[in-house]
Amino acid sequence: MKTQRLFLLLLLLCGTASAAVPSSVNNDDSCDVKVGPAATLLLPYFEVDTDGTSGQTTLFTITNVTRYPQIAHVTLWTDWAYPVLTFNLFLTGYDVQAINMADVLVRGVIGPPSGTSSATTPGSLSASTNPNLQTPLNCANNPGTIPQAIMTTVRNALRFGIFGVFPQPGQSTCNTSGGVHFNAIGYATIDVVAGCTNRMPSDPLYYTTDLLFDNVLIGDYQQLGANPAGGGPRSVFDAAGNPMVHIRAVPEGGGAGSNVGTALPYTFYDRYTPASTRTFDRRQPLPSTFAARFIEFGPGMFATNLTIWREGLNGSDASCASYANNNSVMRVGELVRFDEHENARGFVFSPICTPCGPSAPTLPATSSTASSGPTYPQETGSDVGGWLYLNLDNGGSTSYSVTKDIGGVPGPTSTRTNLAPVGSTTAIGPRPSQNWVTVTMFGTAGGNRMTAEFDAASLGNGCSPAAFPSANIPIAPAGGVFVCPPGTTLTDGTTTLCRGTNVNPPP
Amino acid sequence: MKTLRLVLASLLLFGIAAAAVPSSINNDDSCDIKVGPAATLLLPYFEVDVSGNSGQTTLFTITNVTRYPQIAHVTLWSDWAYPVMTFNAFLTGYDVQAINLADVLIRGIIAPPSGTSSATKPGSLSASTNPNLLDCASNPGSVPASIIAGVRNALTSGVFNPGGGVNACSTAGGAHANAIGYATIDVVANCTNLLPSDPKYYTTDLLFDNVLIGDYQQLGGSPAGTGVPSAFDAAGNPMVHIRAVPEGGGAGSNAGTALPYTFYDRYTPAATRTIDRRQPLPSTFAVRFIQGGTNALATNLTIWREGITGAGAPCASHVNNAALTFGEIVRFDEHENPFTFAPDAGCLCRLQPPVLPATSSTASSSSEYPEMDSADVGGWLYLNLDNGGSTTYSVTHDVGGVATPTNTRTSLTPVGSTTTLGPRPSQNWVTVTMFGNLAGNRMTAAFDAASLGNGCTPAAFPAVVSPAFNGVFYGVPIGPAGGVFVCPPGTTLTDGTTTLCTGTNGNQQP
Repeated sequence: MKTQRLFLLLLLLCGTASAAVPSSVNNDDSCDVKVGPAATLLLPYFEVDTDGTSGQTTLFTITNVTRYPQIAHVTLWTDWAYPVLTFNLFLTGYDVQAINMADVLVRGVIGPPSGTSSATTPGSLSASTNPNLQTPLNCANNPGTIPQAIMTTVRNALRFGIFGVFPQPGQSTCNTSGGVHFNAIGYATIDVVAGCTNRMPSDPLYYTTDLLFDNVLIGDYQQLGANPAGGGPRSVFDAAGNPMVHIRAVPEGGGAGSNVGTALPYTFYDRYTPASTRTFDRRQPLPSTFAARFIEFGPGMFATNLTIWREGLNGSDASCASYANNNSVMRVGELVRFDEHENARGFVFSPICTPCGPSAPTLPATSSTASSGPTYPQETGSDVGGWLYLNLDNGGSTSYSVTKDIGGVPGPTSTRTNLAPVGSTTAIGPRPSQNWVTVTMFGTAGGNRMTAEFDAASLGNGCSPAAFPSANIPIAPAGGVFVCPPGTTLTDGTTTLCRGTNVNPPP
Repeated sequence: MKTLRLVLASLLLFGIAAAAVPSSINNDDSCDIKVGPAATLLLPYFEVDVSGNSGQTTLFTITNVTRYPQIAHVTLWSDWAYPVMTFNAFLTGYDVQAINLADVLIRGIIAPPSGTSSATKPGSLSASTNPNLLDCASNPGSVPASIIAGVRNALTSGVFNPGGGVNACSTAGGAHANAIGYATIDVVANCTNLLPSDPKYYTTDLLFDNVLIGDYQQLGGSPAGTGVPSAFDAAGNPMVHIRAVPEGGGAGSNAGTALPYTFYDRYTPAATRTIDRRQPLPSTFAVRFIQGGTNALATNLTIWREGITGAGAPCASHVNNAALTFGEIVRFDEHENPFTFAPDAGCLCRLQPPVLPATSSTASSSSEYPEMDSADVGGWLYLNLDNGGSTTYSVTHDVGGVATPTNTRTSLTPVGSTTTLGPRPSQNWVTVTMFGNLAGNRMTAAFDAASLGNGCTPAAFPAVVSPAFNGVFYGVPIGPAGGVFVCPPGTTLTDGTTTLCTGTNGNQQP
């Protein structure tokens, strides 16, 4: 009862803040993640048949929407968030560069036929130089091909979790770098940088020497040969596409090494950034709660894959062993399935388990799982659709930080803050974890095949506090309902239920 | 040359604003459009084979992510932005409701088997009432065939004459075999029959709660124009999630907003033009394409565009929504070669490219877009979709301390920009659908184009290039809104200079 009173008090406190007037109409000035020019692109999941027999692969394309040349620094990570390969793409002004991950992982080719380099003749509208790039620029010899010995190592890491023989400079071997699966599975980050560096984003030095802050890249991906996860039928060769996650620098700009303050309480690369300047990258953080629709079974052979990227727990100095212990089995805050008749079935914190799962479900740093699989509460009725509430907060970590005002000076903390209120699904550390969800639907309609992929809706943004278990606070957009601007009432003239807010408290 | 100086001066003025510190970390507090709970969902394009032979149809699904019941007010508009039908979906708490537009347009059925109403038994986690709602007990589950026939005619032939005392219009939309249009879905307080084109809708019915999410699937989509569908393609995408900023308050609430104008601007009451508080949509986009080649690659650009007819517009004026101009289109191939619509010989003027209606799906290889004179099979298009503006549009700005609407030029339409009339650029939305064959397999993918600014961004300047100008930009180089480079206070570029720090992310208040 005391806990419940505390929740209500928190809600009322939040409700008081709801009077705030909207404050920003600017570009690149909020925590909201939209599809627009960005400083980092996240490809949340890739899957490649490295045998090359099925043709299953992931294509992604990067476009530089400015006239100035840019360098896109691509890093491939395993499904346990272990970085295994990095390469650079030199983009002339208004350049577009497609990458077939099968080219990279099977054939060792980047940007065929001969790679990308600063020696490329730019288009007539392109500027020849970019004052944000390092001088002298070391991009004239970007490799177009990678030795097969290295690629074998990378493939082994992405398929078997064994990263062994030819790691890149500064890396150690690791035989627990990822999960074991027939296909190469992982995710990719693409950052705008100042030079053709080999540093990984897991190296704090990367942020102070290489990373840039210009929101200039857009990108999309196509998954060819996608099929329902977990043994679902594969009657045809399906394909789907989506924008990558466009993560903007807020505020934008400045040269490499610029240490600029940001209103963001923490950032996308938080756990890898330098200890004293944890928001150095200025990248928008990602949300933790989502609503994702599903269809499954029925005469249309419906199936839904939920592709989920999750922030790992390991920081920049993590040991090899910690990847298996931490990033492969991250818990989930809460999962609730609503069928088409609004019947709810939940996992973990919900009191509505009918039945509850045997244990709290876990997911690694990236995965694509069937909505009908054991990860999610099971549908027991005859409905073939509905939606899932996903609180993907992994419970938090002391490797995470939040930068807050400490005696008038912004300073990082790894202890509990306003972004991790007592009773929320963040049990440790200063904030919820970051996540991203995309939905891929499969089915047949009238004998014809249907595949569709799209982003799930985020119920808050990356600056929202950790959500509470729905046993205590109903599922809703972050901050709850109803939000009532100053001087307004609800339609019935009351304000009693005006307890919601869109204000994210400063940490 | 004078124009160029003016443009540069504008850029420098913007540059001063670049020092602004980021100001909002809140939810539902910006002009950016994201996929998250919203007060209005825009289905930017639907296409239904009303003969039912091919199976081509558009499905959309609405989800209420709160425990309180909500009413989703669906309006179908023709491709010339003429509203032809409205119906309501009553959603219990956490309800999800799918609508197959073939059900609606062919069979006259809304939400089979029996429609939605407030008499529906809610789920165990749903609240029984919503203090923001009024009445919704008798939603029709089916629509009389005569009415649906009128709606079909409007969406296929452009002739709207459903009878029953409804005003007829013989220029409601374009003529095409399939029913084509767009849909808006608003959260409202009661099961009204008012259309969003009626100003009264905003003071009596509309609500402001960001509680709905939605997605759509286009079944049987195929390459537009000359493309040949070799398979039954399908693709899906989120609807456009348009939030109320600030959120909340009961029906008729007239709360202030920092938004300079709103999504429903041209229909809102004359004195309170931002009463809907819906986020405005952007005008400039970057969109990738693939076309031609051995894999039969093709790209459809599905473009929603704000019309220029306001509340009370006569039937005949909807023709104006059939041929909305573009601000500018530049195609870049894979080698960054730019292509534009060539000017007339000896003419240094900027030519208007072709026109498009309020909603359409066209092939990137079609004549609507600059032809690509190279062997490349891909690249990207810069789309400045500003239709040049209109005096039916408004912007609300501070006049002597009072928020006042104006339809004259504001700082959102700087001199020399592609808005030549009225206070702001027009609103638009773009999605991309790619088709192709790969190793004998069919590929279809749909996704939103990237917007280069948001709906609060001023109209862009032209960036026309052509041989007549020796390949040199005439106006402002294409880039993210506000330009590059943006330099926060106290920073330099990597080379230590600040000369090129002329970009900004600040959108001036009008």
